[in-house]
Amino acid sequence: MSDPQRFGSDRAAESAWQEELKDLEARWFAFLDKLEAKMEELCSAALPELRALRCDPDSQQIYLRVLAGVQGQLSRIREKAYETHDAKVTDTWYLFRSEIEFTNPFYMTGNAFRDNCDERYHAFEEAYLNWYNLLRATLQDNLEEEYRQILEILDSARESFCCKQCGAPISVPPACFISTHLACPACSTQNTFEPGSKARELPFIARDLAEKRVTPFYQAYQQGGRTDALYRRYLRARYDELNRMLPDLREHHEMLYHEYTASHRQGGQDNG
Amino acid sequence: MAENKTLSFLGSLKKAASAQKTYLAQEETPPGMDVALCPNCGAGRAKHDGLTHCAYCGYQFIDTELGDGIYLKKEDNSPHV
Repeated sequence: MSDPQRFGSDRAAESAWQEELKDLEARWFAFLDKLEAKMEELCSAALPELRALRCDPDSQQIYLRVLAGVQGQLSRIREKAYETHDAKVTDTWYLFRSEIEFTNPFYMTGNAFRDNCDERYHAFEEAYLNWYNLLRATLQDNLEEEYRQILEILDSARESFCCKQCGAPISVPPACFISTHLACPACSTQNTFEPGSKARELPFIARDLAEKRVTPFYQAYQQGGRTDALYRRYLRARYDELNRMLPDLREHHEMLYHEYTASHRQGGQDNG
Repeated sequence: MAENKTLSFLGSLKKAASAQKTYLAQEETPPGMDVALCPNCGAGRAKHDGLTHCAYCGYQFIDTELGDGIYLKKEDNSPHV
């Protein structure tokens, strides 16, 4: 303890560490700033393109491929941040910890370095998530239009078919979006109604569309302190909307409603 | 410069996406009505005639006796059996 040599070398090591941590922190911040700028540039250029593609009925597959490509680029940027955080910040922190005793007051400097870097990293992750959600949100741009087209197809199909065996007209029940057996009212022959590829998409877009329609309820829930009552109101609106779109799945929707409200009551979980 | 790079990346991505061949491409199919007739005599098949045999010629559709399940019940056996 009274060895001046040792004290001196500790001071030297501490100031070397101080320099290194400061330098590394500055570089980490600058690196993430650069990555964030890159993300912003990529996404702000891609979003209008994606919206335009999404609204063109002939380019739906192209839209999905471009979306996947842009998402891939975005996650590559995120991976870079992750790898660098691992290799530089975490490793340096472990090295620091192995050299500086935690009883040493200087240990706090290392702690502060790690906290600052992690906080900046979290901010970067938030920014990534924000861009990711904005890209995903373009998927919902066209849902109302798609739903309208499906309803149009099903409406026009409703009274336009006859029994294949005897020719008597068969009326198709509304919201028939899967292959359905229909008995001919005249000869009782079982006919199979095939709704076509477009109408089959209905259950796949219904949930997103319902969520989009009840967004105000979700926002009210988020801003109103995430209470149980507001969550129930949001879920009720969501499943009412789904029941309207897919009356066949009413039983299933009610089951989900009860399950989600119960799990929210117990653990405060929020299922979207 | 960076802006150009991003735009050219997006351009080439779009070009590649348009040029990509779609495997197992599914053509859009319109709604339709179909019916499964007896392969032996061409008679229509009604639910109350049962699923296992043709009500007209007795042709066997399914070589099994149906038990009570979720959708199919014992009553769905044809009375011919």
